[in-house]
Formats: sequence, structure tokens, C-alpha cells
Amino acid sequence: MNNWVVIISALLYLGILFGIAYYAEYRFKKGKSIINNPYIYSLSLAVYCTAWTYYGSVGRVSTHGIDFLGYYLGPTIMSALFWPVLRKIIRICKTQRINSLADFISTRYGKNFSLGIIVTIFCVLGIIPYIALQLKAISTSFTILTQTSGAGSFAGFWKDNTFYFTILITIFIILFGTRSVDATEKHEGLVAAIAFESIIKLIAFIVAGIFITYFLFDGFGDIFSKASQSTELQQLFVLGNNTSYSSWTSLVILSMLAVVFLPRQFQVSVVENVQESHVKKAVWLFPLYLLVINIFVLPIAFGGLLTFGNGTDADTFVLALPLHYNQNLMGLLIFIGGFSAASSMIIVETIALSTMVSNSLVLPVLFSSTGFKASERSVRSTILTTRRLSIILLLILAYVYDKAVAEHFTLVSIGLVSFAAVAQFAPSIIGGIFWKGGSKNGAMAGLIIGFIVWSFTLVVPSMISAGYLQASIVSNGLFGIEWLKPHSLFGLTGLDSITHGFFWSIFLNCCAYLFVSVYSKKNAQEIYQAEIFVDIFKHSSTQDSNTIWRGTAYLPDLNSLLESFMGKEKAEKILSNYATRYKIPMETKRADPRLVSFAEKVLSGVIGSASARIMVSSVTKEEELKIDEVIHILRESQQMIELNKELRRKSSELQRATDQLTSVNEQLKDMDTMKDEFLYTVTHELRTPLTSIRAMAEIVHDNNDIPEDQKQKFLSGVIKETERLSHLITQVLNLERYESGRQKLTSSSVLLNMLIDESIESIEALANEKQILIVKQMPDSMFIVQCDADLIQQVLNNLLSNAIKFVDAGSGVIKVSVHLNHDEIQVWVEDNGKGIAEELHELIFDKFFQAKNQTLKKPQGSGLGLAICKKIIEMHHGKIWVESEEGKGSRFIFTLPSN
Amino acid sequence: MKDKNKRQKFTLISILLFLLLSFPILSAANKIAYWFHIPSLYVYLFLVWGFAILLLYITAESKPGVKNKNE
Repeated sequence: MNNWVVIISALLYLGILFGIAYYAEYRFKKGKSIINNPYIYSLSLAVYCTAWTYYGSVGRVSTHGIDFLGYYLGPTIMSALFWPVLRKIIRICKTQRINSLADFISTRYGKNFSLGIIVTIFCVLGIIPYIALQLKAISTSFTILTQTSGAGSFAGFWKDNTFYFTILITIFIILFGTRSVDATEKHEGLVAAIAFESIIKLIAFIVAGIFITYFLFDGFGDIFSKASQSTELQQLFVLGNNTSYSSWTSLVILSMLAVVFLPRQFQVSVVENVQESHVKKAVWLFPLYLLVINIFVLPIAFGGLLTFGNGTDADTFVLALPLHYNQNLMGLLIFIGGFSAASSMIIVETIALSTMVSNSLVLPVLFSSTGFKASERSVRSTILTTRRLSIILLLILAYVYDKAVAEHFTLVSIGLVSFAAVAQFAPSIIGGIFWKGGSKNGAMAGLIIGFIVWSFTLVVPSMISAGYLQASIVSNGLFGIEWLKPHSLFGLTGLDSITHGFFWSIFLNCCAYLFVSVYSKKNAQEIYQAEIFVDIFKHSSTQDSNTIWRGTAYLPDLNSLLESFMGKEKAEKILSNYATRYKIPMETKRADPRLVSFAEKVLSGVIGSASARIMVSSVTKEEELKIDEVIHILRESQQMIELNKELRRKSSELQRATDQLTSVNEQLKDMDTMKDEFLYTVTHELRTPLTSIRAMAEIVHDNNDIPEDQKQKFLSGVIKETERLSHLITQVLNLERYESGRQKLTSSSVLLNMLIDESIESIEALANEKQILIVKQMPDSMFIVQCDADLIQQVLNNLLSNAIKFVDAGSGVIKVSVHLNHDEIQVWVEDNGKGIAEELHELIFDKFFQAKNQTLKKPQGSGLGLAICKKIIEMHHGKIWVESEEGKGSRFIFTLPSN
Repeated sequence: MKDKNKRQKFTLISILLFLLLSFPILSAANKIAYWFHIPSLYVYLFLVWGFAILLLYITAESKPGVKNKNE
């Protein structure tokens, strides 16, 4: 295919990438973030699949068979641990404003900047070959597609297309990766572009797979049955050909660790994470992506082996197969897919490394040097320049490595060495977030030993085979010492070189980390950070308001420090927002310790925690805290939380008690007025009969001459009024007894029918006298109720005598009936009297209601009857009410619960 | 409580997966045998993989049960 077609296509593709990144940033400025989306997050994690996946997996199959799946099954296992592990790391990074792996480790172990430097150097050395590998993939695929002469004839970088691609990618990274000094700010455009690249590489690879499997061959079955005819190829169907269970397991573990601790993975999964909850989708979407992209690896590999035999470099099968059948367009698509896989990795890895190099390596050294002053106005551009320069430097290093060393190796072998490098961070990080005992010295010892062993067992051999070191080291051991052979350290044989190197480095690393941690002393800062990291879910809510800083600081100094890093406007906004939130006075010249802590944290986001500490201490005078003081502060803040909870509980209890008291008081007041009213009406009621008694008695007393029959009349009047008086008094006493609760119910099972019969009997004489008809209507069944028979009888009597009072003599009809309604028995007493107005339906059950309504025609009775009835029924847990319309009679109903 | 429960589920899944993908269970499928012409190890690994994704999907997306509603 023509050189220029390929170059223009690649340029076009890069143009689209620029467009997407630009659009995403544009949208973000409008307030609509594209990357704030769990699907974009999951896709961005797929930056794990590099050119190594794209071309290298197939290459690996041709020599090692199925074991390439270990690289993707490891991450699948790890994604189950995303929830417990990754989410914790994300939370820590968000609250502590951490933006790189190096910063994470250095912050955890007391913001120690030498640890940050070690991690950074380690990362750069471990990852540069990996970036070089991507460049190699681009150049190799380019060579195959254009069918120009092989990579061996390197004629100077100005004639090398990879060189120009590298420059373009560098521009892209600088444009979209170093926009803001605050490295905790998300790279909107970049992440959007990465997610897009993940889609492109997936589509391209699947298209290639379908084409090779179903068009060049006749499906999976066909390829596999053809391959199975060759005993040589058959061996690739199982583990055991160049691989063993031990190397399979080490591969799975290596890739498990890599998927979290590779700088690019840390960048996309932690630093670029917008919301913690996105992890939930990624947990299953990310492994699903890995599964899909791997389905066709085996068919492609066997297709290639069947077509080309072992003659062609298996790394190139994906591309070579379609080209072999003259499918140039398909070849171009596959090239673009591989290009996207490689470029996405380069972009993210470089960003992550440049943040580390600038924040953990260059800036701490720069800031702690005596000549540097924080107030220099150029400080922001210094940071950005440092970051840009480190990007350029990293890519130059990768390019040089690619040209000088990488040409000698297959894709996979380089990648695995990088995996083993980042796996060295696992003890310090995993230990750091779950074990408070991990110390700075332990982490340092572990990392250094791991690094040395890794270099010796994995890097030295590759240097030897590239011709930079003497081959005698491998055969005779270092300095001729037998047990210092890189491939069989301390005499351990039987493992392949990666497993061997990984085993020794991680084993010694863990031992050093654990033992040195246990046996070394920790300083106050370390203890504090350990507490924060391990118990992050407990602390993240109180963290902002609690601080262990003590010393003297002046607000203007702090302000100008922040200004020089963030710009005047932003610095002021951040500080005043924080001050308002925690009600910190800003007028004083002296800065509140919380503000100092906060400023340090904000600066950490820009220049890393170690540098931030140096910067803040340069403008403040800090007193050193002793260990027991730190512990005291931590415990205090814990106790504060407990105390706070207790206090809140107590105060809500108090509130409830107050409410109760208020309502009781209201009741009491009501009752008091009721009592007054009652007393008033009672006396009033008592006076009425008393007045008439006195009047009649006076008449008889004063007039001796009145006739005998008249006298008799007055005297019987006196007797009647006296009866009424005593009746009234009895009623009042009764009512008082019911209301005070002194009346106890003497419940027994009573036959309601009998009770009603008795009541009617007792009142029948009166009814007959007025010629009133009493009708009884009862269902056939017997009703047995649990009640105080005397009291219920009283109610019945009351209702009946009331009815008799209100119906007209001669035409009056009273009907008594019993109804069963669900779990209660209703007794109805109906009459055809003059009825009761609707608005009085409730009032008539009040005490002395009649007396209070003098407009009503006053009939006989105390006015307490219905009030007493109501009280009695309520004591039986029943209800009493009236249904009536004026002029249409009334119906009194009371209910008793049935058993 | 809810979070702890989920953490336990995920940790269990990862241990189970690790065991399914290690010696000795793996050796049962690691033979030159075929299932509809497709190598048995290949089928086994993809089946475990698919099963893992399904399990992760169910665990990640499950809503907290009624019991946890008050938390």
C-alpha cells in the first residue's frame, strides 16, 4: 500500500482524536462533562489493552499457546477487587488530593519525598521500555502495511515515520494533558479521546477476527480442527508448552497487580475518576471488554500459523493475514486499530509519568533548593514547563530505547518486565491502605530491594542479550559467584525467567517491607497518615475540619503562596469558601491551623504532597508535634465524633420530653377551665331546684290560710324537687367517679338480649303511661358481651328514658335493635321524635349541654345523662354517637367490642 | 453494613475465580480434548470468564435488599 495513504490516514485519525478531545473540553466549559459517565470510565480503563494486546497476544499464542489469556483473566479477578481496593484508593486520593502513584506512596508514608523519588525513578525505568514497545508496534505495522524494507535498516530519525508520529502524539499530550497546573483536575479531552480509542481498537480487532475466522476460514471449528491435525500446533491448545502452572499463576498475579498499579491504569482509574460510583459499572464492563477483544486471538493466531507456518513474525499475523489475501482496506483499518491501541497507551502513560517526574522528582528538589522563592510570579509556568519538558524527555527516551534495544525483542517479553516492575509497588500500597503498621522505612527498604532484584533478574539479562553487558554474568553469576546468576538466583531453578524474577523480587520486597516496618520507629506524620489512609471511610467526613498542624502562620503569606500557584482569583475563592464553610475568621493576621492544612492539601493537588509540605513550611513556622500528641489528636477527633453523636441523641431526647411536657401542660390547662365551667354549671343546676323548693316552702310557711289541697301540692312539689336535687347530685358524683378513673369495671360475660329486655321492662310502665310503643328487634342469635352489666344497663336506661322524653305521647314509637358489624356489636335506640340538628350531634354528649342551651325547650333531666353514657361506653372501649335529622327522629348508637 | 456486605461478596468472588483459574482445578481442563472441535481449555477459560462477568454484574448492580432499606 502506498506510503502516503497510510500516513494521511493516520494523520486523519489523529485529527479526529484532536477533534474529540477539543469537543470534550468545549462541552466541559459549558458545564456538561462527557467523561462523567460510567461507560466512558469503563472504556477508558480499557487503555490496559495496548498494542501488546493487539499484536502481541497473537504472537504469544504462537510460542506459548493459550497462556496469553492470563493477562486478561488476572484483571478480571482484580475487577472483583475493584470494590474493596480500588474504591478505597480513589477515596483516599480524592480527600488527600493525590494525583500519581508516587505521590500516593510518599503521602502514605509521612509525605516523604525520597520515597516519591524512588517510585518515580522506578516507574520511569520500568515503563519507558513499555512505551518504546508501542512505538515499535507502530513502526512495525507501518512497515508491513506499506511493505517497505524492514525495521533493521534504520536510516536516521528524519526518515523514520515513527519519529513524526511521536512528535504528533507529544503535541497532543502537551495540548490536552498540561492545561492546568492543578493535576487533580480531570483531563476531559484526553479521557474522551482514550474512550474513543478503546472503541476503535475493539472494532478493528473484532472486524479482523471475523474476517480471518469466517472469510479466510470456515469458523472456529474449521481453524481448530485444521490446527489439531498438526501435533506441533496441538501442543498450543494446552498449558505446558513453554509454560507451566507456576508461570501461568505468576502471569495471572502479575496482571492482577498491573491493572491497578501501572501508572496509566492508576491515572485513568483513580486520578481521572469523576465519581466513585462509576466503579460499580466498571466492575463488570471492563472484564466484558477484555473478553470480547480476546475471542478471536486464538483463531487469528492459528490462522496465521496455518497460512504462514513459523516463518513470519507471529506478532504481525493480524495485519499480515488480510494483506496476504490483498485486503488492503481491511489492513488499513487494522493498522488504525493498532495505532489507536498504541497511542492511547503512550498518551496516558506519559501523562502519568510526567506528573510523577514533575511533582515527585523535579519540584521537590527545585523547591527545597535555597535559591527558589515561592513568591516568584513565574512559578506556575515553571510547573507547566517542567511537566511539558518531562513529557518530551520521556518520549525521546522511549524513542531512543525503541531504536537501540527494543528491536531485539518480541512485544510480550518487554511488557512483562514492566509488569514485574510495577508489581513492586503492591506491598507498599496494599499494605499501606489496610495495615497501619506499615512504615516509611519498611516501604523504602521493600521498594529498593524489589527494584534491585528486579533489575538484576530481568533487566540485566536483556542488557546482555542486547550486547551491553558481558554474557558471563548469566552463565557464571555476578563476579563469578555461583548463586548470583540472574536466571537462577540463590540456586533456584526450574522457573522461567519472568516467574523467577517476579518471585524473588516480590518475595524479598514483601519481607523487607514487613520486617523493617515492624522493627522500625515511626514519626508523628507517618502515624497520622497511616490512620487517615487505613480508616479513610471513617475520616473522610471529618477530615477537613481536623488537623494536626501546629505553629505560627500569617494569612497574607499563605494567601500569596496559593496565589503564586493557582492564580489570584482562584486562590482567593478557594480560601474564602473554606473559611466560610468552617466559620474561620479571615480578618485576623494569624492564620487558623485548619487553613494552613487546607492550603497544604490544595497545593498537593498542584505540586504533590512532598513539595506542598516544603512550600507551606517555607512560609510558616511549624512546631514539631510529638507522637503522643498526634495520637491524642486522632483519638480526640474520634471521641469528638462519638461525643457529637451522643450529644445529638441526648438533645433529641430532650426535645421529645419538652414536647410531651408542653402537651401535658396544655391538657392540664384545658382540664382546669373545664373544671371551672363544670363547677359553675353544677352550682347553677343545683340552685334551680333549690330555688323552687325554697319558694314553695316559703309559700306554705307564710300562708297559713291556703287550702289543704294546695298545701299538699306545694309539699309534693318540694319532695319532687328534692328528688331531682339528689338525682342530680348522684349523677355528678357518678360522673366524677368515671372521669377520675376511680370507677372500676366489674366485667363479666353478659347476655346482651337479656340486658335489653330488662331495661325495656323497667321503663315499660312509663311508656305505657304516655302511650308510647317500644319495639324490639333482635337477630336470632344470642349476643354475649364482656362488660359491666350494671353500667351498660344504665346506658340503656338513659337512652330509653331520653327517647321517651322526646317523642310525642300517643304516636311515639321507640325501636331497640342489635346489629353485628365486623368485630363489634352495635345497639341502636331509635325514636320518631323531633330529631337533633346536625351541629349538635357532638355537643349533646357534653356535660350540661341542655343547661347551656337555654333556647331549647327545657325538658326534665340533669343534662348529665349522655355525658355519663359516653364515659361508660368509652370505658368499655366502645363508641357512642347519634344519627339524626331535624324532624325525622333520631338514632342513638353505641358499640361494644364483641369477643 | 450494606457496604461491608458488598465488599465481602466481591472478595469471595475474587478468591473463587483465582481458585478456578489455578492448579489443580485448571488441570482438569488442560488436556488435548475437544468440545465441538474447540479445545477444551479454551472453552473452559471462556466459560469461567463469562460466569465471572455475570456474577460481577449481578453483585455490582444488585440493589440493597428490603432488610437494608433503613440504613
